[in-house]
Amino acid sequence: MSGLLLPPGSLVSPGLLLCPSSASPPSLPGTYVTPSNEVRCSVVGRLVVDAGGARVESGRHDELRGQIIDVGSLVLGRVSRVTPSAATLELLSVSSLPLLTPNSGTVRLEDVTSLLEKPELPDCFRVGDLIKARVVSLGDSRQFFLSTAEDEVRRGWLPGGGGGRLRRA
Amino acid sequence: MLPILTSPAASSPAPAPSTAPNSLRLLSLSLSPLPARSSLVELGQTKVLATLHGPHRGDPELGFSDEGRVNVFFKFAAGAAREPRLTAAGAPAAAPAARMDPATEVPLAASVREALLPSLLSPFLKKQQLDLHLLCLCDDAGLLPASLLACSLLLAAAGFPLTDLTASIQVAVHASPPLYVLDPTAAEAAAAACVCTAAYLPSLGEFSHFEADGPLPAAAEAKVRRLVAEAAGKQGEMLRACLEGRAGGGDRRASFDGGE
Repeated sequence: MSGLLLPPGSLVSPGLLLCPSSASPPSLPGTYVTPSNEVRCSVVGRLVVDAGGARVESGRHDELRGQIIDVGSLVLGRVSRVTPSAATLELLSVSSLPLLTPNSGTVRLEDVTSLLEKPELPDCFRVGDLIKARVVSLGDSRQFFLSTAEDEVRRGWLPGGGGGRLRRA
Repeated sequence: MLPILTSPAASSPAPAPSTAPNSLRLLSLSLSPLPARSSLVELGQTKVLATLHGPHRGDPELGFSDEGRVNVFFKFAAGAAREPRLTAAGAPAAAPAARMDPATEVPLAASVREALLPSLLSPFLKKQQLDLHLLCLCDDAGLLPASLLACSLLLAAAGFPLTDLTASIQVAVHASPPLYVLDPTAAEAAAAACVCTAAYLPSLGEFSHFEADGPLPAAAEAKVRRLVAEAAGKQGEMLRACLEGRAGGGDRRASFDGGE
């Protein structure tokens, strides 16, 4: 990649100038853009340039980022409470990485499935169930809002025919 | 070599500093080899241990914010005290060691957080929080600079994105004759008319914090800022050497005898 001031493979640390000021500074992982459009390093790591472009590779940064729950993250949680309108989960892992500190999330009735006929939550979840869910919102100060409507995160239940009780696959 | 700034017509000599005015004390930086994420900074006889906890769920009482937050907590270790001063003959001073004042813990923590804020890219945390716990093991002045160095080193080593590393220096200003002592000890700071504490981002060339605990004319402030910028560059190099050495698999300790 042209414009880099340091050779690939260099050990870098926060604040180092990587690309001089330009009209359209590139957005590189592990870097940030200053108000004067300079690209500077933001983490400790090694400068890597490959077919995918340039980035700062940092194992520590990736470990820390693995603990951040963001919109779109896939989480695994244990159901701790079920009400007619929502199920509360104790989050255990995000993107297959175990969470080191506790967090909680809520699956609301409207986020359980994309089907028009909404099930009853006590028929879908029981306390102690392990649930995969997608974070759809940062929620409020206490919990994240989750959804199990995607096929990828569906727990494997199937809606019962004729209005009967739901059964799991 | 940093110049010693003195007035040519001195009416009375300023108290002689125990170290050269334009030199920094021995600075030692250590990073924990374990994932426990801690750092130890020894600035002369001042020792500060920093540990990192998180990211974790934010305190609900603080309200919701989609940006993260870094909290700083400061404590003096139980029984921590200034080391007894040695007299010229090498014998311990007759006066007992001064105890640390717990009332300064909260203001110190607030000062550390305020000085760190410009270097933090907090939105990275989303709505979670990081806690920085500082423990003072021994205080011989330079507590705020040592705390800032420990926090900046620890955050960078833990992978937290920063705009720059934070260097910090104290400068003791003597009024008559004008004399500027970099990185003073407790005795030197007590004898000065004003002690300035500054935090500096060496790569960006910006001050993130500046405070003076006494009267400081504008001309003196400009000189202090220049001295700090020069000395902070050396500290910044040392921080990078410690971090890059660790990232490269080398020694995670670095010592610097801040000579001229």
